[in-house]
Amino acid sequence: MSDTKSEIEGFIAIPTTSGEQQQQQPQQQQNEQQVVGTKDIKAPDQVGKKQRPRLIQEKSTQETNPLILEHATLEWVPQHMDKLLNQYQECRKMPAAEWLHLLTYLVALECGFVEEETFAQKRHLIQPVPSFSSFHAQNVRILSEQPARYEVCFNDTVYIMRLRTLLDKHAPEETSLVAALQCRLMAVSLGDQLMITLSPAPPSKEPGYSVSLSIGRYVLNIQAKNKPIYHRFRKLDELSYQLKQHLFQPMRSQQLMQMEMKLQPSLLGLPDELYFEIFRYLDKSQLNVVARVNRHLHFYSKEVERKRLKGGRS
Amino acid sequence: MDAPTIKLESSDGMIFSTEVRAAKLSETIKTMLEVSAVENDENAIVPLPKVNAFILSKILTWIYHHKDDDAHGAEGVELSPQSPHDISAWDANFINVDQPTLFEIILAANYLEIKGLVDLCCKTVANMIRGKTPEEIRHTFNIPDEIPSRTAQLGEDL
Repeated sequence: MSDTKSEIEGFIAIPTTSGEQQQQQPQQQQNEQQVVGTKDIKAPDQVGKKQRPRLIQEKSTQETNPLILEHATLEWVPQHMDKLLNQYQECRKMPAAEWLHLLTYLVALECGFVEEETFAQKRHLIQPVPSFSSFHAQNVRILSEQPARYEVCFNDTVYIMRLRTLLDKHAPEETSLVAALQCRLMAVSLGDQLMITLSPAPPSKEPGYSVSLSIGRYVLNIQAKNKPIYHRFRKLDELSYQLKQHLFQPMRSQQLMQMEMKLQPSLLGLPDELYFEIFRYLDKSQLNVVARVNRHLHFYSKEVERKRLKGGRS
Repeated sequence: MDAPTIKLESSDGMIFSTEVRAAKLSETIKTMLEVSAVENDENAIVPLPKVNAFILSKILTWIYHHKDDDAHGAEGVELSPQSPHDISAWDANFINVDQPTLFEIILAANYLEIKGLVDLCCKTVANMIRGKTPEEIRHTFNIPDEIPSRTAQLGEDL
């Protein structure tokens, strides 16, 4: 186990000379000023519309040893990204759409998905992923050492990959339930757009999810000589957000619901006490609105109202 | 003199080193340290089987920032006097993440018993709900529509 561990020193001040300390201060002040100066604070559901300032503590870990695609820079990329892309060093002339498809696959790995054939071959090495989580550093690293397996169809304009959601060791192995964990990732190149769809495997009647991405926004057509391939990629934080928010999280949540995994990272998968914590910030009229969303939230919003009445609150 | 540190192991095997003082913002970690009496052992590793590396790195960023909060601000959420729903600029920037990450942080903070971070996350979710119609809430949180008759029944119950 110790051989596979990686230690991250990111939250301790490293002893430096006085000069270096002085040099660090302006940077910290600058970052703090950037943060303080951010007046237009947007809700998380508006992420992707503005560039977020970086903080020193985050820089020290995320920039030099980023864990996920979102934090990749021109200088530092996550290990799994480096491992996967190294397998395509001889394919630099691959279409930009295909590179974008590979980036999508990397995000899928980060969200707890695995390509089916790779899973079949490497399942003895893959660790369980609990329903309340999705990212598993070791799994992502192991899986990225394998080439992405996908079909290329229709004059290299369609890329199809079969995925499966990783769960914990208590996941059932019944055929019908295993099928619920399977889905198909299809990316269709339409001009400058890549239409990506994540669909549950048949015979499921559940909905799929899709997103349209501008290829040129994320993958440059220009490849500089003697530069790694990832220098062609841009706005990976935005790309990561789009894919997680609109494809992988909804699908994973849907699959977990089918498996009756109650605890999961979504508004419908929280422990009881957290609903009370959230709803205590909502007034009566807002609770009534929440009660109309679905039966699950109806129950908790009414419980909050009942507790308020008992406590004499209004 | 260097501040005492402790090593935390995420569920996926990554080890993070952080100051003991910062780590103790988590009641769970604080209890683990007290029970195991390894507070002063820098080689000791505290396992956190329900928090993955990415989420743990995010949480450590938050607790490191708030480790010097005084007793009055012990909850860690920097409140604005204008409204109890307001969030400080730093916290708002910190919690400006995609939704799956937000909910994973909520679950992890709840497990680690970091009250200030739980409050921040719950307040953020509440702010995402406030002012929206039921349909907009479903869209925001990817909640599937239920059978119309059930929704109508819910409406009648109100």
